[in-house]
Amino acid sequence: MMCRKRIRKIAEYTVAARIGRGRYGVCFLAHDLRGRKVVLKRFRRRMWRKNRANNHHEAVVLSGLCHPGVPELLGVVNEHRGYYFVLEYMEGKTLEDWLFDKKKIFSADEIYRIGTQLYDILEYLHSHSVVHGDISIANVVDDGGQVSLIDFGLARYAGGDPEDFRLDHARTANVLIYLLYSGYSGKGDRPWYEELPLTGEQRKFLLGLMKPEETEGGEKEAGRGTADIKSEFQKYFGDVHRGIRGEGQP
Amino acid sequence: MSGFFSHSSSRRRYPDPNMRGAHYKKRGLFGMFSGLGSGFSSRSSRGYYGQGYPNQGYPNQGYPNPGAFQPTAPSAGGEAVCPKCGTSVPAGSKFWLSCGEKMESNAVFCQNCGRPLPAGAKFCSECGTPVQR
Repeated sequence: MMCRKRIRKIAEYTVAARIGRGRYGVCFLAHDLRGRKVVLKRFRRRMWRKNRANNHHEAVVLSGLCHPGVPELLGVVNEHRGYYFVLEYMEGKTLEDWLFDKKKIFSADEIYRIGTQLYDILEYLHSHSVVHGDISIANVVDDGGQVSLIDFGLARYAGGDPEDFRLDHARTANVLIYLLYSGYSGKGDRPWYEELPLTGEQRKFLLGLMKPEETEGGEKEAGRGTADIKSEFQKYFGDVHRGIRGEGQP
Repeated sequence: MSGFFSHSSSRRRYPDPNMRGAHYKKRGLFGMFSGLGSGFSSRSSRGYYGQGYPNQGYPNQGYPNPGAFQPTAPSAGGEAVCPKCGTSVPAGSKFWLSCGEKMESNAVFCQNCGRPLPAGAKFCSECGTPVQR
């Protein structure tokens, strides 16, 4: 018997593959009528109902953003088979896939580029009062030249307190630590700040973001803006400090 | 939307600052089961912010009991109502969330702070900036 692959259509979109899933639903890669790649984000019925008071935040936040590193909200599909957000497809793989599927070792140059682009996106978001709230290696996509930030399901508008942005700062620092560990071959039995071959300034920079209350001067600096943090990152991870990473680092 | 981030609720989303190196050298448990990760948080605490919002009813979505989808807190007002499906849409959204119709005129944001502006607002309720239309 000949088996034909069924072409699945959701509204005017042709589904090509399932590209991700999580607690909240499933993401499909699809093509629109012009052949453009899009992501269809389908919500699980149970989770949609459970969080019905918050489901709209992602649509509202994305409606107000326009940045090459942020997916555009292209539409909403509400049909009997499910409820979907249609989002711009961001080219590349997640940092999680680069690290753990491709076993990629990120060079100092790449970490600098990714960090800088990530802070560019954050600066834009924070200038629009948006806190992403879920920055992680699974939610940062890189195509080798451009970084994108995805999954705005937990994004919210800040309440006016500069401290609100600290969550994104801490989680971004955590992403950088993942990248710094990509070429590290040690045991991994000590805290990252003891183990990674960082300069004093790099260590202080990351510690200041991860635990400002315990870092000298951290509390005072906790309220500094994202632009300041980006400048510091570029200063401490830029040209002067490249090549300082230890054995086994590219 | 002031007070949106209570320290007690958002604190649990901070990464452990003392994590050992082994943590950074392996994929997280949930990540092993996910694909590209294009858009879904794996966290159970998604709704932790507790911010209510006007609700739209979503009558066509095929999910049962849409009438139970009620707001937990009133909005700032100024919601638009879709002439096609009769539901309201939260300020800022450029699509009706029930029928999917595009509505660019609802996607108005403060030029200063970036927050969504309710329909007909003359000033941003957060920063007070006059609305330029």
